[in-house]
Amino acid sequence: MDAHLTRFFRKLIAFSRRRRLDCELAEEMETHRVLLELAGHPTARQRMGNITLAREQSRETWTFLQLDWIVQDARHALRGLRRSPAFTAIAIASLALGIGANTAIFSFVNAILLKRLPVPQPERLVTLDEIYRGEPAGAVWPMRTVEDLAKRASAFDGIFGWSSRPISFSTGDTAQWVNGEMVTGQYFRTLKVQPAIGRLFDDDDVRNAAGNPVCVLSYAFWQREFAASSRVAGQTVFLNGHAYRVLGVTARGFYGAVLQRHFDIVVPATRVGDFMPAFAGVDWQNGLSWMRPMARLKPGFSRIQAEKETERLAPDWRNRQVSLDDGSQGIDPMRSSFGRPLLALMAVVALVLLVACANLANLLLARAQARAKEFSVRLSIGASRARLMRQLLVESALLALGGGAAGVALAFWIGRTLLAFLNVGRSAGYTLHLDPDARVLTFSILLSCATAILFGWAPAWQATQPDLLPGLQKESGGSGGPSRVLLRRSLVVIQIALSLVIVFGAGLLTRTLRTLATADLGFQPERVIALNVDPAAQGHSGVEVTATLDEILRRTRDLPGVKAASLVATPPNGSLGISMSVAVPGFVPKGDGREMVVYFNFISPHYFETLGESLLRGRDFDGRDNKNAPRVAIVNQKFVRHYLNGRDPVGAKLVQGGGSIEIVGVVADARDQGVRRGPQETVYLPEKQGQTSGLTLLARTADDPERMTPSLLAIVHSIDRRLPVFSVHTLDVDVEAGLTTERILGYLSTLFAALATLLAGIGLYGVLAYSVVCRTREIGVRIAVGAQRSDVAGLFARESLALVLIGLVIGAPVALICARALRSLLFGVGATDPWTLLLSIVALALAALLATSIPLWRAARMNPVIALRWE
Amino acid sequence: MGERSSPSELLPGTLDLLILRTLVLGKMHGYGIAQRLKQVSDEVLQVGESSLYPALQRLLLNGWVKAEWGASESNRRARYYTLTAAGRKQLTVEREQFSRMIAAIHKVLDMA
Repeated sequence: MDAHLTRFFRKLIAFSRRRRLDCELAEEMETHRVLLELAGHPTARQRMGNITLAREQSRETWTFLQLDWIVQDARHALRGLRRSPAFTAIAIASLALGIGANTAIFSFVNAILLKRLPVPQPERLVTLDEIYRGEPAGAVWPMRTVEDLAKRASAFDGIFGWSSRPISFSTGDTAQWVNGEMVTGQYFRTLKVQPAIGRLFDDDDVRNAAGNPVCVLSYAFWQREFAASSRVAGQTVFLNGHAYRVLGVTARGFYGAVLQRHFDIVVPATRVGDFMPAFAGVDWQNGLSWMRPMARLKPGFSRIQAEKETERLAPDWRNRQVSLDDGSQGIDPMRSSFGRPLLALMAVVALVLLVACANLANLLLARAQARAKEFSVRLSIGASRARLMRQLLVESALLALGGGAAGVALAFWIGRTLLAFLNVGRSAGYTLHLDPDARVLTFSILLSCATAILFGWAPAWQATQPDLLPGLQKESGGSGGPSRVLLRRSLVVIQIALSLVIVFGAGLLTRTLRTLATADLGFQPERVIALNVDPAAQGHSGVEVTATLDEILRRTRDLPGVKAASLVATPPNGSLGISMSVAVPGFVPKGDGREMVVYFNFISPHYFETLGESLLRGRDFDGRDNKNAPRVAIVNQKFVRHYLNGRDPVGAKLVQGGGSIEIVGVVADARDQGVRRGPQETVYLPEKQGQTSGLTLLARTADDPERMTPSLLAIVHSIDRRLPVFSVHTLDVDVEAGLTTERILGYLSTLFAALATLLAGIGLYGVLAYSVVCRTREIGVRIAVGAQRSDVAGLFARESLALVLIGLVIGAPVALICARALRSLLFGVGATDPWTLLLSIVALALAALLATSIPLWRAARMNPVIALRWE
Repeated sequence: MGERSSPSELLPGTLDLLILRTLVLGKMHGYGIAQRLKQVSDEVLQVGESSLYPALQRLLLNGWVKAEWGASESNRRARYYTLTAAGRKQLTVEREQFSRMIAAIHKVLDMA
């Protein structure tokens, strides 16, 4: 092995100096000749024999013979491809689409399923989860628990708690919302992050942060907001109105503890009061669970050992089971929610590539038939079959590489477009790190090579079959032998079958999208503006917050063009639902009592009016339902059905948090937690009797909401110029965003289905057209002896029908089996839906009809005189 | 009558061995090697130049000999070949193989 390598390098060196080596060899042999003459051999030149041969042979010792041949073959193939530009263009374009789509989807698979946090040894990172009903679920811990473990656990090389929060950031006058992370002291140590500027905080800084607030910036944020100034360390910035000293900047490339997000600022968790003022007065250390724990396993410790130790060290976990799970993707990876759709898409594009390969193989077969004579001649004068096959495979490889290169360029564009699609209506911080890395490039190169073999092998094998006579005898290329026709027909059958699989899948996904997009939401999201404004984020106290919000709401209602306005804690499709446990006197929960946890929402009067929901019974909240009034609630139909079976809801009581609440109204069900989820049992409480911060302002406008936005912002800023307004959008954008995955799946699969059908159509057309050309003389004879044109057309129609039927008969069961994998992605349609299958078959049959009609028409119109003269 | 080998035709692979053995005596150019082989073998082994030079290239590639330019007796530049350490080792190996082969051939020829 070693000797081989040495030889290889010697050859490489020799190759770079081959001219000099040639000269030296010539000189050496000339010396030899002179010496021979001197020694008295007059016939020296004769004796030297064939000097050129000797030199050739000497040279060959040093060359890479295979490489030479491949270069030769490649040149030959390039010439051939240039001679048929239409073929080359079609081949490269279809490959580029196939490989491009595959590479693009793979780069998403890479970013979402394969990539890991860009920190040293990410494989040793673990998230600490809890086993809930047999499944690990992301744990949320009090800060004290994390800090206790950090002090006492021996299995970890650092453990930290993490929480994210939008932070209002300002260096002077205006404020903006940025992505903040609140973390405990071992955050940077655990992730092994180095500073680019200054230093990063540690346990001591976090402990002392109460008197000495510090923060750390991300590299990108530092570049953007501080123009990469090296004097940033020590500077003072204002976060939610509080002064913080910048300690340093994290190393380039680090973007936080979540793979698919990026942070701007990290602050010590001990300063949480500044960032979650809504819950002021709560015991942050012990009382509230709000931190996601994550740790780095020490070398030599297994996850099980660490789990045991964690359970032992936490005194209040007697009945809880800890589970340490893969943390290499950080906290909350998108893996769980996007994994299935992505794999489904990956399968679809792989199928499309297969159809494209079948098409190319078909084209190459036709091309090889046109060159059958050339090959027969070459085989008969002694060219080896292997040599010819190699030449054809090199041609395929060139096509695949061309298609692959174009595909990678295309993939970049597709990726960008898809990402933009994915981020529609998403307010903050979804970042996919999509840049093509070594893994993506390797994937596309391997894919190109695989396709070259896939579509090149069969044609090369067929074309070089050593049955010389037919090729030599046939004047103008016959049908090319029965096996060749069979191969081409089977390729078309495969294409049709695969296309049916794709079309059926696309049909199911499209019907899912239609069902979801046209579902009755129970509220009207159009023309409702939502804007997030939190006076507490500028350091206002509780009473001020209420006063400010009331003033904003009052002025908004007075605005001409606003039909209704209200405040809400969780707007429809909002990400943070509030669930609390509730007791209903007279209702006995089954099982473990978990059933009694329901969704709560805090609203101001006119909420239902603003959203266009209908109040079915009782009354809406009004100004009287304030802090000092008796507690009241409005529930939805589903709640009534589930908990108040048959009783009159208005006047009934709920028990929550030790107090009694009277139900004063019933509202119609709404799909306000995502269309797919459907209505949930919900209890609405007046915001004045509950949450006073973190509210969203909703305003229903009479006409175009875009034009109302500036007036709304002006109202907010006339009350407090420094109030940052976060995420201004209309509610229908939120609804749209909730269907992004379904929309991407629906659109893309339809697009790919159309592409596959087109390719299959081209394949069918090619086979039939070729069949017509080959049987021209036969057609002439038939017509001459009196066959009707319809008989001639029928001849080819039968051929086409047979191919399509076989394809569909094979494809249908395969489609039904494959669709099972889609089951969890479907909504409102079964994975074996017969109507969708029927529609898919009809669509494919129509495409096949179209592809058949042109050659059929040509056959029927053929002039018998010309046909008979056909050579 | 079968086709006959020419008298100087060697067993395949033996040329490399002979060249290596010749170079044990010291550095030599191509012509010198050919002459020495001829002399030592009493004119039986006449190595054609068209096999000598490819063989030398092969030995160079394998790193068994190395070459340097020097002046020849004709006042022309000539390439002189020297045995390398690896070449010496290879010589032993090939020599053993060759002896085994000859012994085997003898056995066949001498069988009763």
